[in-house]
Amino acid sequence: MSLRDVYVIGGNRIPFARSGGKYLKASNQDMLTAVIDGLVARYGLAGERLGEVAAGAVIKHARDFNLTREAVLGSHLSPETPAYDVQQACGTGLETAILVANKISLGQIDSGLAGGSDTTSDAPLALNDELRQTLMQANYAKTPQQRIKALAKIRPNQLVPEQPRNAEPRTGLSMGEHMAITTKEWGISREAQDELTVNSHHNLAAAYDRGFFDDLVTPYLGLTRDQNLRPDSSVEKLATLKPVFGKGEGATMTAGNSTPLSDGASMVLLSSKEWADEHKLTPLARFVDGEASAVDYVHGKEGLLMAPPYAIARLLKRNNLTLQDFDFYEIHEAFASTVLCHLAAMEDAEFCKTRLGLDEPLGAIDRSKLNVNGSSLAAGHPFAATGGRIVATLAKMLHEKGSGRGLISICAAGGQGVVAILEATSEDNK
Amino acid sequence: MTRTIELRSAPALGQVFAKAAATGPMRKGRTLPDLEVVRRGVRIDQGALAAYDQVCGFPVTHLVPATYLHVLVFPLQVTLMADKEFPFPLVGSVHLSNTITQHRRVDAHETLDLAVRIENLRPHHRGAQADLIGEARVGDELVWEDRSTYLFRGQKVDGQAAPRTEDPEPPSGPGVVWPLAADLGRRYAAVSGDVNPIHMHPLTAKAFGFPTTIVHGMWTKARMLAAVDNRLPEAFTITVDFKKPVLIPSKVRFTAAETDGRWQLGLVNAGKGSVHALGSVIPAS
Repeated sequence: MSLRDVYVIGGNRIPFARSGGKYLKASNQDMLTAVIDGLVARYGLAGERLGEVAAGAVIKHARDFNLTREAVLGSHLSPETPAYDVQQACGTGLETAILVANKISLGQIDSGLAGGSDTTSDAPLALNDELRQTLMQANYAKTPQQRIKALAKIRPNQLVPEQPRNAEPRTGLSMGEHMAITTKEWGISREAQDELTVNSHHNLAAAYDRGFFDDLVTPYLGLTRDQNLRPDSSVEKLATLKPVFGKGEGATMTAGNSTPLSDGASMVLLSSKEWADEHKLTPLARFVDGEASAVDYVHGKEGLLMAPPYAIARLLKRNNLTLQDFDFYEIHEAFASTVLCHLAAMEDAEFCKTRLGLDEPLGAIDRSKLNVNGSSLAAGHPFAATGGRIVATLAKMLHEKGSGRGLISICAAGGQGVVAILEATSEDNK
Repeated sequence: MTRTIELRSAPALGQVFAKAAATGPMRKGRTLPDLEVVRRGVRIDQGALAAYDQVCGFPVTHLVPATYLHVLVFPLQVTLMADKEFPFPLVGSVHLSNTITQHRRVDAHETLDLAVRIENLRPHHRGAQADLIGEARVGDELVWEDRSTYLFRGQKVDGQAAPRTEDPEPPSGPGVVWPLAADLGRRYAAVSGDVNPIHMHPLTAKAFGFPTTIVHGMWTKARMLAAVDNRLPEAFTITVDFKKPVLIPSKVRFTAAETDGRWQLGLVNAGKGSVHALGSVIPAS
């Protein structure tokens, strides 16, 4: 079986809202449906049967077990389009793109949508675990006496629902607390973090101003731009914020240089060249390759969010590329310090030798090529929606430039990382 | 000459209903007023639209369901029927049928001009019936039309009522069963503003001669549209005839069948099978 080239035809997302903001009434299914319908309208896909739709949400209600399929059934796509859910924490969106791209490459399908949605405003509250067990016991009771006995165990304190926590199950530490440890290890300064944050806001605002997102973002529920975006952000203003993660002198991570909880959804349309030609659509970029990695953060061997450099090293080797062979770097800003830790680690000879097994360090990148149209610190980060946002943004950047190559890197909970390479199409490269 | 009432904002429907109820017994006449009620520059409140979407089963998006525009013209309809020149009492009137033509999808960011008039007064075997015509425009473009046929029970007008015709059977098949909660009328009232007492509580419904609370006809229509809306083209006409009030709480069965883009819709009682509503969707040619 021969492999085919895979193309990013386009993308769509809704502006990202701050948690408890404009999307309080929207569910993941609503947002995914809206994003799919936006793509359907933009690319004339009404009633079309696509190869598949892969998407997911990190925080999901039990009733959303078939979230993506339900969104497809509520959309203007053909109801005969299959769909499935994927969950790889913040790597979800990019992982779905890799999955769909692989199937297209193998010739199993010709087209597909990949993406994700997340909301912290419509998050599931679970029954207190003890109460849930009591109710299950009562449910399975055979006699009324057994049932009464089971129900008699309910205590008022069990009526408080369990809220989903942004914490690692195995360490009990929040992502920010984990990141604070790594930030300190790599000696990342507060100033460097705030500077990266300001760049993210300024770059995203400038991209909106020049209309870059006009065909990538569909307004939703009264939002036309990301709610978290602060075009007037400055290092001076950010310097006034108190650290929220880490303790004492070395604490550098604030609410400003960390991504806020947010709501939103994104999708990208991928296809073979033949499918794009048949539909008279111009591909934005070629989806070259992807790689995932994971590290043992549980016992402190590696930082929770330090997996991406491992994936980057393997991906570069497989594609015979160096870290400097790129025109754009899209490194997801979970926290400003995450990006800076990755960059520091990839420049560090010791880290690259002992951890990545490389003779030479991956080296430094040209910082003017990093997140040039802003990233998660400014846009917000609805976990599963970030991959689709970045793939669509980078694909359009490559199409605008008409040549070159871009690297995507996304860190994820559970000590994971998902990375990918996109390239300008051969027509663009001519 | 046509008289025009221009509303500057959405009227408080509770007050208009109260006025209509109080003046109902004094009303007389056999002709419709040459009256138009308009409201210009209407902006859609996205939060209110989202709440409507949730009660009726539409996905929460920036697109405006065809039936939501009916919610926006409904206060204009009530204002017209509460006008002093209107010959029949509003309270006790029955919504028999509703036809909506969507010329194109309306986006929630658009500004609308709405107008309502009444025409086509004719006899019905249980009284008199007339059509309230609603229109929505974006600038000069007519984007949406609504024809709501109302029965005014016991009212007399000249002429002979059209003979009763046999209803078609609702589409067959297992369809989908929708359990309807007892508070559905209150929930739809909250998102539509239609606080007619027959939809609010068993006691107030009984006071108007119903065995218990009945659900709004336009909720029924909205829910039926929501079940097929994403399969429809941009421009279509949907008609729903309301055959028998839906008492709540209850379970209803929705069935649909499509041939060459045309849809037949049915809503029956899930237990007894009695027909609540029959509908059709015809794409614009």
